[in-house]
Amino acid sequence: MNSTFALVGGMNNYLIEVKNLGKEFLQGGFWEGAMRVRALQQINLQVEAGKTLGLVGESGCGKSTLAKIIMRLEYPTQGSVFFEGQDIFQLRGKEIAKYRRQLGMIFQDPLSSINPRHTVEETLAEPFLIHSAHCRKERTTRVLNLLAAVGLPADIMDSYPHELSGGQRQRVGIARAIAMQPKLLVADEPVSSLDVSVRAQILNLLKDIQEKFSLSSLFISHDLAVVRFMSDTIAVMYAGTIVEQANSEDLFRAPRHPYTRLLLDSLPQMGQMSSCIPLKARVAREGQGACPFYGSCPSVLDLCAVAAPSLRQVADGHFLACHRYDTR
Amino acid sequence: MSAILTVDNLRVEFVNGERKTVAVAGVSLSLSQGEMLALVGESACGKTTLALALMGLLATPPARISCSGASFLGEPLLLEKTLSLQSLRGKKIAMIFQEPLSSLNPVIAIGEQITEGLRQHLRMEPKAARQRALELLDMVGIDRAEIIFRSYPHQLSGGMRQRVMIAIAFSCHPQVIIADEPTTALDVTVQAQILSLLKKLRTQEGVGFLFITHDLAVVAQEADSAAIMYAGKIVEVGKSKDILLHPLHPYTKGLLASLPITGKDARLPLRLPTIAGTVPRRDGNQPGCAFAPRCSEANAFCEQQTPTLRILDEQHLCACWRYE
Repeated sequence: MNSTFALVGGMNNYLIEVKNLGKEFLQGGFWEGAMRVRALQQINLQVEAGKTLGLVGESGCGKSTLAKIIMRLEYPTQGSVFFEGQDIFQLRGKEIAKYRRQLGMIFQDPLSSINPRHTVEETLAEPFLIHSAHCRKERTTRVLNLLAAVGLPADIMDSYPHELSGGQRQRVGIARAIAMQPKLLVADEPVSSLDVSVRAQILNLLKDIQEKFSLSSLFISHDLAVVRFMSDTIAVMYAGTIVEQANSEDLFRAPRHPYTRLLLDSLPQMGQMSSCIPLKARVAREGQGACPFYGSCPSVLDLCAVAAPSLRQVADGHFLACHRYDTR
Repeated sequence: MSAILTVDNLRVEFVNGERKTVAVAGVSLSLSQGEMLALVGESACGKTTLALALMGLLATPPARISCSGASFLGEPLLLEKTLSLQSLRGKKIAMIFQEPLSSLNPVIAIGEQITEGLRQHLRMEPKAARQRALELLDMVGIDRAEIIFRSYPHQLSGGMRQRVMIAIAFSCHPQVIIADEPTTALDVTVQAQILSLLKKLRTQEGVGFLFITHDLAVVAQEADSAAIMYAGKIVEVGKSKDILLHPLHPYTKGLLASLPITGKDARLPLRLPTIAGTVPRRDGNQPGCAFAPRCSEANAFCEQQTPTLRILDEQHLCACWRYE
């Protein structure tokens, strides 16, 4: 346990700090006993001001649950999240609105996250209506500024979401996220529903915006190439735990956890077969003491079946949860 | 290797009142036994419409299909008459769809969905069909086939569902499988498993694949040849290696440049190069090259005359005026 505390280290230097976070869901159990599913276990993460933290993992590994907890849309069952040193789950009343104003969220599918019956102007003016008391004229000016910031033409204001292309819709989603000039941008798979050529445009836009407004961001994706392009630091998640965290170039040059290696090896590459092994047991269920990756790991030790490894620092800024490196 | 499926100058138009949209504007292609031909393009470029036309799954009207000639296993294929394809569909030509959850019937057990084709096309007895279905499930790498046979789609994971789709597609020993973005909805690790399964079918059973995708990395790894589609037309076709290493068409070059690189030692650029603009909607009346408005190398001539596919290298065709 001591090792996890060493990880937390110097407090309050981070914009957002996730400490010992855990989340359990109850599944089923209408007639029979409910099963507890651990969506998140012992998550420790920090986002520094002005930096991007990338979060990679397969579907169902808990990435989006973590994003929702950070947005205060879900409550954790253990641990907490600190924003500028303050516990976000201690906030009450107006403080919550103030907190949310400092966060902007971009969703995966812009068509389902934007109200289909609102025009672009209505969508983008809504944050101003809720959070600040501008007059109508002022709001329109601000919406126009937002559109310019995300590279959309002004005459798009009266269009409805279905009239826009996928790339334009995602630009509207980004404009809405930065409307209140947040400090942190939470992007949950922002480009995975977009085409290759549009994807590049949106990634560039996100980078530009981050620089221009000096935003920090939490960038969630299952696409390693995209995360690498966007992030300073990358955390790899598997079955609700973080298995490896490192500087993004280090992680790609020298991945250590068997799962990270597997992820990198499964990327299709010119002229060679990507390796694949059967993956089992994605979600850690209650009562299992083993390492979550035990069932699929190509290089297990006896210890892996009995105890789950905890995240330790193995090199400067490189954290790893694997017994293989504890013994060396 | 001789071609098992050839299509010559296929056009698909959608007519909606006064509006006419040309989804597929004269596409020719040929597929050999055991070959994997990748069809690459952005959304709305007409690749799915092309696949549906080949399967006879387009409703006519609103679709209008015309074709100069198509053949399958040496016999003429009447793509215009979608009903005539019914006996081939699922038997000799099968399809794997992108999203297995929406293409499997949610209220029918997996086993029944697999045996449906066997009983319809091969007139199998229920018992024999069941036996064959279990073999198929086993072949696509599903263990506990007995349990899965009785399960419903929502009880399976994404990868499992896609395996079931492959089992259904393969059930009647088709010669050609059209796979429409079969791995787009899947995680990378599952994608690797599905791709290796498709490779097995291709090398062991000699199934020809028309593999529709927008993922160029998958093309690089899997496909023998590739056709790049833009606004309803094939703009470049050739061996996948040639296309990816020495692209000729400006559109292909742009697509390749806009990918973030994943190689271990690759250095990342600060910004990704992009192709400006979006795919235009074509009603078939505009002159000139469809890519000209977005092309950095276009001149006045490109906007007036439509380029056609020409052989530039050995087996490497490209439709661009730059190479005239």
